[in-house]
Amino acid sequence: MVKYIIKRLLLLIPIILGVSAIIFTLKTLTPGDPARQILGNDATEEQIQAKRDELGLNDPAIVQYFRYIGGIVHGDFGKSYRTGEPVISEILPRLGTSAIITLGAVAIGAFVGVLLGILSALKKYTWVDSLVLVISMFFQSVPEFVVALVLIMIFAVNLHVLPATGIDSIKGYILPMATIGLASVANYTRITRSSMLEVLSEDYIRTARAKGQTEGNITFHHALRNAMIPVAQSIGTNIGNSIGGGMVIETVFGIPGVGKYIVDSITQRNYPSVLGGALIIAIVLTVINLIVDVSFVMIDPRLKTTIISGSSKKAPKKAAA
Amino acid sequence: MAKMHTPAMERIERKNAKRKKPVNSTPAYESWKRFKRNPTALIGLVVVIILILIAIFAPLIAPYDYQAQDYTAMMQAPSSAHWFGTDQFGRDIFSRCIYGARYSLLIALFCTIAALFSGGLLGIIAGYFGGRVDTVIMRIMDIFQAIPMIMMAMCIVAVLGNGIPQLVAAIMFASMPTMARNNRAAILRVRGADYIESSEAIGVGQVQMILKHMIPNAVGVMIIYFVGFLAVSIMMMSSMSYIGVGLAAPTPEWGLILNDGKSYMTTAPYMMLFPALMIMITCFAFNLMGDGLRDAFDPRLK
Repeated sequence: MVKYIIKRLLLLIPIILGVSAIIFTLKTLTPGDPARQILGNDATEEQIQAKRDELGLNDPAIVQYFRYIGGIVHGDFGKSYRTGEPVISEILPRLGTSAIITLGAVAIGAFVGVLLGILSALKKYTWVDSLVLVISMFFQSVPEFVVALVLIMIFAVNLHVLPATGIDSIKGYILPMATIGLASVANYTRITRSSMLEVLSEDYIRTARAKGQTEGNITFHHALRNAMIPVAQSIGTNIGNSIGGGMVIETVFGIPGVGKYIVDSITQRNYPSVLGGALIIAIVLTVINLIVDVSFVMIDPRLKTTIISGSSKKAPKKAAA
Repeated sequence: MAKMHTPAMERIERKNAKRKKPVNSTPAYESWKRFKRNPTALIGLVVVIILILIAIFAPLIAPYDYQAQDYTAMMQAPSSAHWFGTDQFGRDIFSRCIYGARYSLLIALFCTIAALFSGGLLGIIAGYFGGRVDTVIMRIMDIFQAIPMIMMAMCIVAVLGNGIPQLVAAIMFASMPTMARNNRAAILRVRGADYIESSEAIGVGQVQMILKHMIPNAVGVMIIYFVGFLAVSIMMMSSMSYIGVGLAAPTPEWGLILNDGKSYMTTAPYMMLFPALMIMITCFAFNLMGDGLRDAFDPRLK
């Protein structure tokens, strides 16, 4: 177990190095000369050259990259052009808000999705089954911001029961969470349905029936518990999707989270904030995925091989070795 | 020998005449037969065809120019002159939505083709060669995938600026890992087949092997991902445009039209209703069709 965790932790290093390489490449592509941005338009060519030397912009790209990595290790993700504050200290207080939205969304999505999945597995090949699949697919295929707008129209503009923007009251969390959650329902429904169908045809279900268990007991105690493994495994991927969805949805609902911070920074052409924010999100996400994977392996050690090869964190060949 | 005309023979002949001639069934025809039986998939296909026709004949269908501003008819509710109403500049929203089909579908097509030629090709190479090549390519794709897709696309647009080519590049890079993974899986499924082994044994070249033997056999699965990706591109494009990180005004892209109507949500909800409906219908239709294609090409996946 310890060996597995250490292995996974070591795998983090190349991913984080790679992600920072992508972000660094984007950084070098940003328009405008940072030296000129700091000194203003009045600066002479010599002054700018001096500043460039001071900032290390005249060094070879590879040297700059390693300096960038060195900064990241010390928690330096760049400074916001707008406020001059370090990006990390602007983002950290916002992470909590985004985390609440994401977790709420994942919880709503998983709960509704699993319920619908059970329903369509129990009523397989009937109109209930098709209806559930079509509805859940609808929410998956329509962009989240459109769903958000429709929900705002209904619950805020027409019914006046929930606020359209902001999270001043706890009610403000409901619509954004529901919007992001609904998009993932189809995913959970599909996985729950197929996994339930598989489990329901197992011998131990027949045994349970033979010894006179009630249908409810069979569904929820015997079948669902065994069918939940693939569902639980997909939560990791889903958190990633929800964070991506959160970027747009936080902007639509005006929620002061990381997503809105990055989108605002894009419109303000505040490049260090955009790229620093993206890097922080990517690192957080990678760590979350690791935690999810490791905790599932702790619950069910059989998953060790499937997680390594299945979610292709590692090539199947290596998993066998 | 003269033909016998017994009643029994006549019955048999009549029966045979009714029977369909045996056709030389191809995998494509078999798939189409399965697709045809799926009502939701057919609805999706019909809607998609209508949308494509709208996109092609946009200038003929749209009653007004999509950027013509009419200051005598600003913020009008839907009427017989302006079916979907007009916006704050007096532009006809119906015309803008019609032209929006052209822009959205075309850009989505560009994005998907670009993704296919970058990520798809990498995936095919990784799947075909396997071993070290596979490991290297897929590890790089893992790194790309660590950044959420839409965030990656937004970062690229942030750096490159708003505009159609920038947006296509952004969506292409963002979707590269998914495209690579899907196409790799498609190739891996035919990789172990006997006919590939026998082609290898008779010394078919690598390029010919991929182009003539593997891709044609994996094309069904690839089409599924292609269609699914069109929907994803439209979703990403409109989401990004809506929050102001994608295309620039006055392009009649649905997300942008929605963004225009944002400030008038309470007073003129029709300004958002129709473009939102267009996005919903388009994405849903592509997904229905994609789902039908999956069942048709690959009944095992159901």
